[in-house]
Amino acid sequence: MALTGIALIFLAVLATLAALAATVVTWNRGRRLRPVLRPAGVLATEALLLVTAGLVVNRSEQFYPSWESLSQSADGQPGTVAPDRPGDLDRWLLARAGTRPQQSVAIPWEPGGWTGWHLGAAPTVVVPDGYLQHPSWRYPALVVVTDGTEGWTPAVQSAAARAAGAAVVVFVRTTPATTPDVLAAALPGALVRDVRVTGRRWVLVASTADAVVAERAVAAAPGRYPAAVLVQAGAAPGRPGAPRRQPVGPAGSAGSAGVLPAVLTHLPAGIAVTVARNPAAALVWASRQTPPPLAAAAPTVAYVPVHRHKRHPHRPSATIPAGGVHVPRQLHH
Amino acid sequence: MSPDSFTTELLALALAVVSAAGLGLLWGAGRGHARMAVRAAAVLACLLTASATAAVWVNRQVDAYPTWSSLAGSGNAADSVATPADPAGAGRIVSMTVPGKVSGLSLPLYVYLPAAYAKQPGTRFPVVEALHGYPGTPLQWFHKMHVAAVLDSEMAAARMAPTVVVFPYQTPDTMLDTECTNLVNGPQTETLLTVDVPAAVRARFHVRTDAAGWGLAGYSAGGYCATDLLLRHPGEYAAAASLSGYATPGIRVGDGSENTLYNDVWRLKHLPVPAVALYLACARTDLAPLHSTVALARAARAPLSVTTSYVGGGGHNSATWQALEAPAFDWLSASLGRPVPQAGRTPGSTPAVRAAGGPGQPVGAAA
Repeated sequence: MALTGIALIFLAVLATLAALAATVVTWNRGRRLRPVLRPAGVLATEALLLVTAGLVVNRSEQFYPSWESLSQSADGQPGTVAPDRPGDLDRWLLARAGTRPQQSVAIPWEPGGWTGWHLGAAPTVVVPDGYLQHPSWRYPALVVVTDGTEGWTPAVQSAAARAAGAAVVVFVRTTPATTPDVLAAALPGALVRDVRVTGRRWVLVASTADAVVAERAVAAAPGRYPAAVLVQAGAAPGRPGAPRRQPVGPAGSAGSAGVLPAVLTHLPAGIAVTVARNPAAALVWASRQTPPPLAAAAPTVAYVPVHRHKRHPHRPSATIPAGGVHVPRQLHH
Repeated sequence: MSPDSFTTELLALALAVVSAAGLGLLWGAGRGHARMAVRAAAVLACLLTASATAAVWVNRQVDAYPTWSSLAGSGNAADSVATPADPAGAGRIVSMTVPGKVSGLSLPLYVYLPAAYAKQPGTRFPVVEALHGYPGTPLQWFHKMHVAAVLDSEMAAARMAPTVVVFPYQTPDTMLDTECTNLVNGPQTETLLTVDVPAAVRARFHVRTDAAGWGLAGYSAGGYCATDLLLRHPGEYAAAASLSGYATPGIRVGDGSENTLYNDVWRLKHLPVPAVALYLACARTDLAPLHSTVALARAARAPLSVTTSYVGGGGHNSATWQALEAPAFDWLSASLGRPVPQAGRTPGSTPAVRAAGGPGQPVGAAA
């Protein structure tokens, strides 16, 4: 019989009426048993009345749709979780790092099919410090696109990647034939296979010469790139760590770094776009838009109830401040 | 002994038994009118104590009235009650009052500070606003869903970044269902939650101030709130996780907007869609939220990204939300920006920016 079924409610109503009738009938009987019979009858009637009301409410609100959902202690089926897959290049990167697995590694990256992407050169992938020591963590990716005319020398790239901190950085040299689809789909697809990166919340970093292709890539893959930063054309390569005079005023004002190109102002709400003075500043801003490297999310349970004491034992945790915190009634406005 | 404690429930049950015994004993007491009065009083006592037992049981489920004064509806909220020393690796919970400068609603707020918070005074942490159901209070998160222990363990396992989680009240009157809207001629709770609460949290704690560092979570009515506030305020929040939430408020806002601007499926069909991330989870047995989740997922289109998660069994209850909450918080953390150094502590790192659709420019929010 279903917990939310009409049959159970009907049965509860019958039982309530029966208890009431029995209480009335036995009210003046059994003088010696009266002190027990009367309260027992009253309590049984009350309890059944409340159960009936509870069943009606539960049928309408579906708080507990089945008998099983009332139980808190049944064993649950563990959920399935995507296996913690290493990047295809992880072992190769480890070999390349040699005796310094804790340090950042930069490699020329030639994934299958890259020659069809119409790039100026094979991309460079830089994995950050600690990448090889945390094989269960996934890192956000910062994709840097430049047409090669704006001073992104290897030294500037490596300094900028260091400034980015805990993120995988990919430097991509574009040509006029490079399509937005390469940045939105083909390159991320290959990167997800080769390196332990997350699938979303990356940042696209572009030189102003690549503003149009960057805008189209962001528009095509807004979940992948919820943020983009343009490095101002002709900007002197930044020296990370070196103090620079900051523009006065809150972030969001145009400042002295230049006005956002019109092409980037038509992106949907929720996408953060900015202009940076130099590559290092751009990558610092970009990495702050992304989460830190994280282990895979806890698996979603396949079935409730679960054996909750296994997953979240009631070990001591923070206490909630007592002392009369509550909602005072206020006049409605 | 609070109105949501086991002791209170036992006491109410004991009184119900005593009342029933009293009814049996006093039935024949007195004469004439006095006898009738005694019987009436005894029956009334039985009804009241039985109802009270049921009411305390329900209150223990939803924590609508955590204190006697909240039941009486008087008194002031406590401010900043420090907690005793907590075990290593555990977060700390403090409470404060949000001065409702814009909404006109001054309500209490619980704040979970991760273990890393005190150790890193120079860091600005991401924030999640966690919203409760109706009827209910933020205490249901703590008492029924053990959220502090869940957050502690998710952060300790590096499945979550160190994150400040705030638990606001969504109504000035426990029995008034606001659904986080600005009710016409009523409480302006949407303004409270999207303007006053963020301002109070930013003023008091070292947290991120940009949309990339702010997310929403909620269960039941709070799930609707999380989805709705995300869609309406993409300049304030980057992501939201809704557990057993709905697509519509299910109340009357006062101007019919529950069918349009506050109806999230309507919004997705008729308004520009923001580039934000939404996580919808519910039990397959929980039919109304299931239908809402399916409708939202069907109506969703780029640039909105929607992730759905369904569990078998369960229902519309705290055991289900407890099973759903760890993956939901993990997903949220992976959808928000990381903890960052305070401005000015890393010279040369802050570029001059002009944000499009960033804080202060909530496109679509005023539509």
